[in-house]
Amino acid sequence: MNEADLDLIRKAKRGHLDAFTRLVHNYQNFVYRTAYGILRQPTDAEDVSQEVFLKVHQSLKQLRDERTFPTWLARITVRTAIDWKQRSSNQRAGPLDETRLATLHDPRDAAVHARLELHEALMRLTPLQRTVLVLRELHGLGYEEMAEVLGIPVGTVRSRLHNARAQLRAHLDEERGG
Amino acid sequence: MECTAVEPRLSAYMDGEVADAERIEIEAHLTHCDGCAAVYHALLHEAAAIRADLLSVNVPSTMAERVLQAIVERHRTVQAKRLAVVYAVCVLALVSAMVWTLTTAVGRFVHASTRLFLAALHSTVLFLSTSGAAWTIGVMVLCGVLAGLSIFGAVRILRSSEVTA
Ligand SMILES: [Zn+2]
Repeated sequence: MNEADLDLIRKAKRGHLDAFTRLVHNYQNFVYRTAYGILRQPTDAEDVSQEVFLKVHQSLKQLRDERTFPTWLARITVRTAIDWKQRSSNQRAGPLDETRLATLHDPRDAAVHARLELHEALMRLTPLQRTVLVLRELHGLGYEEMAEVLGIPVGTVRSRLHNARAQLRAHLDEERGG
Repeated sequence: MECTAVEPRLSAYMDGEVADAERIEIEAHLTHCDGCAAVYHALLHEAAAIRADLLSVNVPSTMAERVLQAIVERHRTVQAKRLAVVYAVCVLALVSAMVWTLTTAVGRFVHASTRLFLAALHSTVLFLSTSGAAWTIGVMVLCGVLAGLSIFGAVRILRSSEVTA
């Protein structure tokens, strides 16, 4: 995080709506990609992102150390996304959005096909397994930081990541094999 | 190290989350075991694929707008709620004041005094409107003198009580 962002956070804490808007601009992909990685559904990820920024606006004043903002934001996003998943027992129609469905009919593109396989395999993991993968691969968090964000012991982070990766590989092998 | 011991550790090894001694052992194993090396490469490949997949999705351009709108809306709702509470309190106060004046003895006294005061006010206005301007000025001057005398008297009384005390 750079000095400019720290300044934005300080101003937003003092109630500057303009600074808050710029903060949203700078971190909207951070939040959206995290939510999408956990939910694998674009419209749900959008709704969750909006909810996250509303929560941030409401509770930013409680953030003591501005430098911890990214971890704090990741924690809020993860909690909101997982709560969302638990609340919406009725899952939305398809695991794939329209652009992805369109590419289904064009299996010549190997890269697109590989991404579809990955998506399907990730969909078969639990939201908690996807969460550790997102925190690790997207945000590059260390195990200590992940444990802090998720409120679980480091050992649990380690085993959950191992299990998530092992299952993902099994699902991918299954898809490629059959 | 056996394959069965190495394989479960590859995930943490990839993340750089194993102790130095363990890392050296795993590295040594990977140089001569094709099976574990294949698993490790698959892990690296999948990690990169997940990262690329997540980086390829982008938030809709309207997100910041949506957030701002929601904040403004919530602010309005909160303000409307507060206003409703203030109104409710005012109405409640008014109603209880009315009940109080109609039911209790003190209330009835206040009620009667208010009516007396209003009647006096009314008759003064009537007197002033029926009498001419000269009378009005006369009455006002008289009132002024009376008020002045009262203040003068009051100040004297206060001063004398200060002296005696
Ligand atoms: Zn081996």
